[in-house]
Parts: sequence; C-alpha cells; structure tokens
Amino acid sequence: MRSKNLLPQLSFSILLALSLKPRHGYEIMQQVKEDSQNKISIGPGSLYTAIKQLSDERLIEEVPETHNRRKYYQLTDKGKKRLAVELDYFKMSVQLAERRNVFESFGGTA
Amino acid sequence: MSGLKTRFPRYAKLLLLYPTAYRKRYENELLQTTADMLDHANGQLERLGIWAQLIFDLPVNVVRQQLSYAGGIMTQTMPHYIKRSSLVSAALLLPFFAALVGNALGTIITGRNLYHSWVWSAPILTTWILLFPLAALFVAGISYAVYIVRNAPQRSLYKKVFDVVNSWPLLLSGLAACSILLVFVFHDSVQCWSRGPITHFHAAMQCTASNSVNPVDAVKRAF
Repeated sequence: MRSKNLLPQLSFSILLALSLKPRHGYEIMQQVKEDSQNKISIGPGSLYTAIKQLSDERLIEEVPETHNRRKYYQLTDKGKKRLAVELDYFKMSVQLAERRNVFESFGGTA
Repeated sequence: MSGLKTRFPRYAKLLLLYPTAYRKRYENELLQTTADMLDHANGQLERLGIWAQLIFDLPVNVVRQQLSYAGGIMTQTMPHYIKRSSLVSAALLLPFFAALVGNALGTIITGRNLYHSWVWSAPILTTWILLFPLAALFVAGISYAVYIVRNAPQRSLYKKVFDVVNSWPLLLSGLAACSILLVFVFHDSVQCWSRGPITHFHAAMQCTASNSVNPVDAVKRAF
C-alpha cells in the first residue's frame, strides 16, 4: 500500500490544515493547533522548516497572485495524493486497533 | 517589509543565523508570522510566552537549516568520481575498524583478545593494518589530485586545495588512512620496523604480530 515512509507529525498536520483551503503561515499554525486540540503548538522556525521541506518535495506550493503581503500555501496534486495515502494508513491503523480492542485495553478513545 | 524589521530589530538580527538562501526565501514570512502571533496575543503574559517560544524555536531550526543546506550543497554538487572513490577508500578502511571492534568485543565478552588469532597473524595483519590503509590513501590521494586538476582553472592552487565543500569525504578517508598508518608506525611495531622495514618486511610483520610492547615505550624508542 505504501511506498514511502510516513510523514513527520508536523508535516502531516500542515497538509491536513491546507486540505480545506490555502492558508498563510499564521493561519496554518492556528489550524494545526486547533486540529490537534492544542496539543501541537509550533513556532515560526519549525513551521517554515516544515513548509520548506514540503515545498521541496512539491507537496505544497505558494499561491500565486494573492494581492496580500502574506504568502499563501496550497496543496499540490502530489500533496493531495500523499495526504490521502497518509489518511488511509491512519484509518487502517484505527480500524485495526478497534478490531483488536486496543482502545478499551489501553484506555484510549475510539 | 522593512517595517517588520524595524518592529523586531533584535529578532531580525537573529534571523541572520539562518543560511542566506533560506533567509532570502522565508525571512519576511518569519517576521510576518511573528507579528501575527504577537498581534493576536491576549495580554503581556501571552506575548512573553510567544517570545519564549520564538527564542527556543530559533536555534534548533537554525542548526537544522544550516546542516540541511550544507548537506544539500555537498551531495548535489559533488562529482560522482569523488563519491565512488570515497566509498572505495572507506571500504578499504573497514577491515581495520572491524578488527579493532572485534578485538574489543572479544576482550569484553570472553576476556581474551584476538592477538593470537588468525586476524593478528602476519599475512592477514599486514593486509588490514598496512596494505588496505595504504590502498585507501592511494585511492583518496589520486582522486584528490584529479579533483584539484579538474577544479576551476582560474582559481588559485590554495583555493583549489582547500575547496573542501565537495571533497570532504575524500579528505576524511585520506586522513583516517594516514592516522591508521601513523598509529601503526608508532605502535608496537616501531622497534621491529626500525631494524629495516624494507628488507625484512615479513620478519617485521611477524615481529609486530608477536610483540606486546607498551606504546609509551615504543614512542620513547622511536625518538
């Protein structure tokens, strides 16, 4: 199913944050924080390190012509496919954990 | 954007620690995002927390970007023959390190070293302690000479020799080979080799293999 390693948590969270619409840096940070229920709080240094890596891998790209001093980022087609693969993997993992009653056994929530 | 630099002059100066290419690409966004974070903060305490996060966030990412850029430059622009020669040279040094590790493990696990095993017997010993490191040095040296000759002709010899960005693996393996050979010369063997390393090569190696001279004594005898 998977030909590549899993993305780092932060990179995955950024792709997820950009899945709804293009966002600029601060919006991405806020969305990541919200999506993770305040568990992931990143600084600008970490954010742009991850953004650079994702841009280099062509998973995200800058939105051209935003008429705004902020740069907006959006998923590329490759990024959308990669996110789908990551989500499939997590979905499969959750289903597997449910079948094995891992959530009940270890006190997690399904 | 100069307004943001004026607003955060010290933070803007700290951003100079990032690699130039990275800074050109992301400096404005880093400052803009910082401004957004501070503008949306509720109260002095939250702003203080944001600055603390920024200060802790910065060094880790500066180091990561510097390493990433350095690594990128080295691997992208490095000629193939340097990569191949470095690998060959490193492979030739592997037996030496494998023998040392094997000896250390043998001493730790069984309490016995390998000095009387086949690894330390004359022909094998000669191979991993002398011939392979010499070959590694030869490969690294020849490749480095080719690198200097092929390097931009308009540059001075000094700049060509010390242009280590693309040649560091060769230098590393060459230096490792030199170190091994120096250790060899100043180790137990020195008293054997001082008797005549060229004419009595095999005898010198046998002598080295059966020798257990204190290295300090060996150095004293050498001088």
